[in-house]
Amino acid sequence: MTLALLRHQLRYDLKVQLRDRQSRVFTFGLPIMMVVLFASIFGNSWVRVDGTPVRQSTYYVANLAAFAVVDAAFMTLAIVLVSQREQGILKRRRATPEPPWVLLLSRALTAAIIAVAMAAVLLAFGRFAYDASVPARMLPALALAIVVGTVSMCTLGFAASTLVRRMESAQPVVMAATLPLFFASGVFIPWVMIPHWLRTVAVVAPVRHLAEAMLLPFTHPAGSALAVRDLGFVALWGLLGLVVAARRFRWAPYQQM
Amino acid sequence: MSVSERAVAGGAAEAGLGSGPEPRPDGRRAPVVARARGLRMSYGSREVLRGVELEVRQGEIFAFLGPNGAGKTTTVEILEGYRRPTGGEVEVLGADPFTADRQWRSRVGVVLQSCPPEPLLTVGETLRLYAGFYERPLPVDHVLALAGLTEQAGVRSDRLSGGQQRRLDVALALVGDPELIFLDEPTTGFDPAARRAAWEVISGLRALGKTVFLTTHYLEEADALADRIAVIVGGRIVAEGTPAALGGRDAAACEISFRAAVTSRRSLPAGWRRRARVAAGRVELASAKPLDDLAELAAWSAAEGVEVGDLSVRRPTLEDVYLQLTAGGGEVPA
Repeated sequence: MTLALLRHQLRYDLKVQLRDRQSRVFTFGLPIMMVVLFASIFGNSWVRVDGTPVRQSTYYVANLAAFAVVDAAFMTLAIVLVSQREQGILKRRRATPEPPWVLLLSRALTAAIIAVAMAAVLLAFGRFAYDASVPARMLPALALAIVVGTVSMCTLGFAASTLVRRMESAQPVVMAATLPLFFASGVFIPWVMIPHWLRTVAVVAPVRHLAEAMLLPFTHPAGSALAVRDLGFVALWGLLGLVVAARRFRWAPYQQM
Repeated sequence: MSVSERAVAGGAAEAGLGSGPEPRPDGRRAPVVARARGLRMSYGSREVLRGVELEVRQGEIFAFLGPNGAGKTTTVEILEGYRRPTGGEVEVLGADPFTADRQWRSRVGVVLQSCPPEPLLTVGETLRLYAGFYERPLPVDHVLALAGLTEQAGVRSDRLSGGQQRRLDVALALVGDPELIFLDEPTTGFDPAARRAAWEVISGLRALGKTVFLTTHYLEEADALADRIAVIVGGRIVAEGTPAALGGRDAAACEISFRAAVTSRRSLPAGWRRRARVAAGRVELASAKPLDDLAELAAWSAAEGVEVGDLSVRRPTLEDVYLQLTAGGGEVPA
């Protein structure tokens, strides 16, 4: 019964997410556009990652797949949650017999599905356009990185939504929190070019570690591709997000009283 | 049971348009569906509710009036289960709203103040989404017709006019076929025609046997729709009764006034001389026995040959009573 309810809710959430053609094109097109852009700016040369030479285009495919996960599962989710809460949509849902966990899980699943789809589209594009391929036996490691990253970003998205009180400030606040981090974490600019002091700051946040875990299957086709420590670190952040979200999440708008 | 069957079998026969809380044919009053006893609410040191007493009976339209800041929204949100009161008792449909379960939620419909519907879904999709939350929802087409939105079923809800969005709100509250419906200022910002249309929808709810808890700013709305009215001021209920009897309105003195060529009270009929006011060619009298005073006036007019023009006999309007009750602004006195 409740599982059917979850399917019902998920169907409508996905419909809403994918209805707007503009946002659909933007969602899936942006990471691809950025890969093309960065690959042409920085040339199709090689960079060293942990001593292993890697094509710049491959580097960007993996890093922007991490970007896609953060974008859909964290940034979009947090902004949607703030706007739905401040508009009173969450509050109105509380007046229906819909179990709260159905609404929340469906919201998270929608973000996760979009995140995984974005990452998949980007990886497929990378393989086709830049020959950035991952050996078949490395695919589970890559999939695990995407799943751990997506789940953690979702809980962090819920947590972040509780820290923003106004609908209008959701987008700027989320952007201000993530854009510098993408640069500092070597997502937009190769990690080797990031100054040392900035690296020590960046490694505290989960973005760098998620990107590492996504890149490893591309760079170490011989050894183990599972970045256990990086993924563990990302999961730890996810757990922190869960704790914050569970303590602070609210249904009613802040703006009302 | 379908909407139309229910209308015939239940509401219309039992509650009947306009009869609401009056004794039913068997002489008993309808059962209480919502009750608050000594309800208190404080936010920090600010006391918003100071012992609210309420009783809403099955099948009536209960209007809840009060100035801004008087505790209206807080009371409604406690009854809806959004807030837990700091003190007092509250029972709605036999349960504490704050801890009520899914079953309870399916029996209550809520229209919140100014809440936009799901932006990217059409009217029909939004209703089907909500219908899916309930075990026995009304057919979506039925609800569309009830709310007068049949033609807008395929329109995206963020492209509706303000009045249509509000009707969608009502439709969303109705789709689960609730017994009790909370309407928080359902016609704010409506033009007069849209307001009339909304009133028809709301009195239609009573005809379906629903109980309606209506908050409103508009006195003519309460007058037109409500079976009973309660007025909250400063966190307390200051008056409660039928629209005709609220605040002793039915027993209050009538205001008789007319225009005549008299300049002083001495030329008026004997019974009028002490009590009447004369100003700018107009004579006014507050009368507890209007028929007696009018009879004397008629005799005087015929005997003296004075023409009585623009004669009016008026009881205080609901607005007069309300303004008197809420004088002082409704802020909690220190």
